[in-house]
Amino acid sequence: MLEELLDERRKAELLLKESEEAFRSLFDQSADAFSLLNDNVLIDCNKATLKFFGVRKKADLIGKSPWQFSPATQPDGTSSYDKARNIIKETLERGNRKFEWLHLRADGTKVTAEVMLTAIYFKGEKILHVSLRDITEREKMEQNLKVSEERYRMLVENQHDLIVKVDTDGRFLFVSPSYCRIFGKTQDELLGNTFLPLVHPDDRDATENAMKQLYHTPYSCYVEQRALTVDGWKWIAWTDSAILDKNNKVAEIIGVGRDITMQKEAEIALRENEKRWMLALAGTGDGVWDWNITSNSVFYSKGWAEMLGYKQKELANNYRTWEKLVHPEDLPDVLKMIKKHVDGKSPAYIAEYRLLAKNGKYIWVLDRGKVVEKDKKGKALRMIGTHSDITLYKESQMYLEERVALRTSQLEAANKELEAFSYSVSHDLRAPLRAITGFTRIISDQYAGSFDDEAQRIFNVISENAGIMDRLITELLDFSRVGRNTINRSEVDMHKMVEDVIKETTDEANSEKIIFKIDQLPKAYADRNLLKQVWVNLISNAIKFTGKKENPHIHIGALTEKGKVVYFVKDNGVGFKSEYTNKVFQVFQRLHKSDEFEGTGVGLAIAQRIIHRHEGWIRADGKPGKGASFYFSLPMNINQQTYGNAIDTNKDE
Amino acid sequence: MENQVEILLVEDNPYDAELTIRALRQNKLVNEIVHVTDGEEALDFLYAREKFKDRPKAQNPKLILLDLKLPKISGLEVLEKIKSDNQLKHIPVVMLTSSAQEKDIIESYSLGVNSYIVKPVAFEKFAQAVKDMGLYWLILNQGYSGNQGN
Repeated sequence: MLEELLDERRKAELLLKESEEAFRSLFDQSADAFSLLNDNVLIDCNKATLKFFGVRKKADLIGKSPWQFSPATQPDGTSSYDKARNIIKETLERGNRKFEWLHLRADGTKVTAEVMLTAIYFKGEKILHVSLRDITEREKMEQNLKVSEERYRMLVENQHDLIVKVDTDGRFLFVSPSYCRIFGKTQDELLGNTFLPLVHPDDRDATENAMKQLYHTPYSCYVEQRALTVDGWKWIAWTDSAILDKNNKVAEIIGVGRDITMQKEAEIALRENEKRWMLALAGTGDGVWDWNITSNSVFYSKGWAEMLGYKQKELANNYRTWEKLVHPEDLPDVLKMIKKHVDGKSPAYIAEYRLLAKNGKYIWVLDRGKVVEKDKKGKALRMIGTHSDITLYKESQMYLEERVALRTSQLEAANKELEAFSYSVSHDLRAPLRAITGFTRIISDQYAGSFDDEAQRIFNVISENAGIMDRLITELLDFSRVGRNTINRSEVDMHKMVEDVIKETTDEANSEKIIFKIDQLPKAYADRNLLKQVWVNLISNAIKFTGKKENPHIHIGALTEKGKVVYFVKDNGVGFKSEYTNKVFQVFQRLHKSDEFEGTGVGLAIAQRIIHRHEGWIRADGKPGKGASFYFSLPMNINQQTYGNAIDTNKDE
Repeated sequence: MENQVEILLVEDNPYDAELTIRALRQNKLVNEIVHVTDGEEALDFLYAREKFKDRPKAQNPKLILLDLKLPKISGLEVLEKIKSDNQLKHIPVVMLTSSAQEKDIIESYSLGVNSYIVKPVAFEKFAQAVKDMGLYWLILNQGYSGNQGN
């Protein structure tokens, strides 16, 4: 029995010994630093521990306390001695403890260890098994992580973009501080609640629709919505992305939002503006085209298409669409106009041409456009323009042109008739007169003896009246001719012309008697022959009506009136009453009896007609017995400035 | 042999014709005057046809006095015919007309008329004009008649 007991004990001891050796081997070979601590003192340690502390032999550690391999204080500020003793004491009571400890290695470097203390019974005593792991690197990493997390946090907290995380029911899982800020709520108020109530009712459907895209590829969506912020309704654009779980089911949704109120308002304003001018264009019925010259694609507006009876979608958005519709007769000219503008040779493109409408008829359009984009070399890239339907205008214009042509031909016909009439007047009316005068003279000459003085006087009366009628016919013809002939304007030296006219209209008798005063006269721009007729008529008129004066004076000059040159002929002749001012220019109107002054009353009418045909004016001024003045003005040509000085010298006199 | 016709007067107005002939005779400028009253007759005379077919064609008048406005064939047409015919173009043609229209004057000259005289209404002036004209063309002027031969 005893033998058996002894055997058992030996066996047990053997087993124990084997087991102890196994543990020892485990203890010594472990890569982790193991040591045993009894009563605050290190009683054993493995090689890894020596390595941990940077010492060579166990003797350097055995018998020493943990605080002896520690700095005076731990990172939390407590003294290593006190803290270590407390921890050891607590661990012995409670069984185990895991914590971080700052140790000091033999070379003086600090090393952070994760310490695992376990209370064990060893040879009847309660001691501590110590496991040390160097976590300096890990701690550094953690430290780094913490810094980057802080940075990230700062980023999230300070940025204006809104970041939220919601679950599939739309309940908040995370809200960024910026989100809280703009909605004026705390995280606690928001978390767990749904976001939808914050969205403008009108935008909720759109938001929900957009978010359906989160449940299939591309698992993201974009939505613009109004939300009630502390500053009122704001437009927020959200880019949402789904986070999928292992089974590819949507677990969470992350949304990044941005306040786009400013852009949105600008966009709305722009759209309003665009709408306004599209409305304005629609009002005028005008069409718009926008031509990308490089690609030859063209945008044709609704109005553009409808003008031609097409729907917008019926027209291909390219250049050919337009070119095919332009009337073939008009196309070459229109293309020339476009090229001229595209080449930068005209400030704007403008053309009127015919376009084929859907109903097969041509309409007239006024096409106006401008290059709006050029490359660096100045090559035109884009041109925009409008079409106005001017068919009605064109038709009325053509109608008017037809009318004008008709009227013109009628007028020409009337003119021809008038010409034929005056031709026959000049030819046929004279012949009887010649017969009257001729045969009267033959009687009075060849049969003179048969008649007494009274009869002779009567023959003279007949001849004289025939002569008057002849002159009337001549002047009437002259008068009608002035109205018909075309005006050929050229520069006229008025001074020379007046001198010539005076020479021609005076004879020896009156050239000595009449005192002419001629100022320097500015040049005129008129029909030379007709203008000479005016001077002849005015000057001979003055000569005639001063004929009975003692010392006749005729003053010919020029003055300026409202910036225009006014020529005048003044005399000190018999004059006329001012109430007859308007009558002097009437044809066949005479203010004096024919036995006082001869004349037919056509001269001044011709002068007025000539001046009127030059688009000038003529007027008369007179006082009975004091004289008459005639003034006339002619439109100047572009060289009028050159006359300036001559006019001023006249004013000075 | 008939006397050579000195003047062919083409004038449809008988009174004008009479006054012209009187003025010419009065001044003893001419004896042989043939008076026709329209353009057709004038050409008939010049080409010696119809009622003038017995006239020796070779004898051209020394002067033609031509009115503008004539029945059937106008004065200008007659003038054109004369001046475009090699046998006739040497005959001096004087327009003796009432018309002082520029158009008529220009056309006459461009067709080759030798003179253009507007008949004055006053008889003295008319008589003087006819006299001067006759004097000039029949006496002073050295004419050329290609068909006469010297």
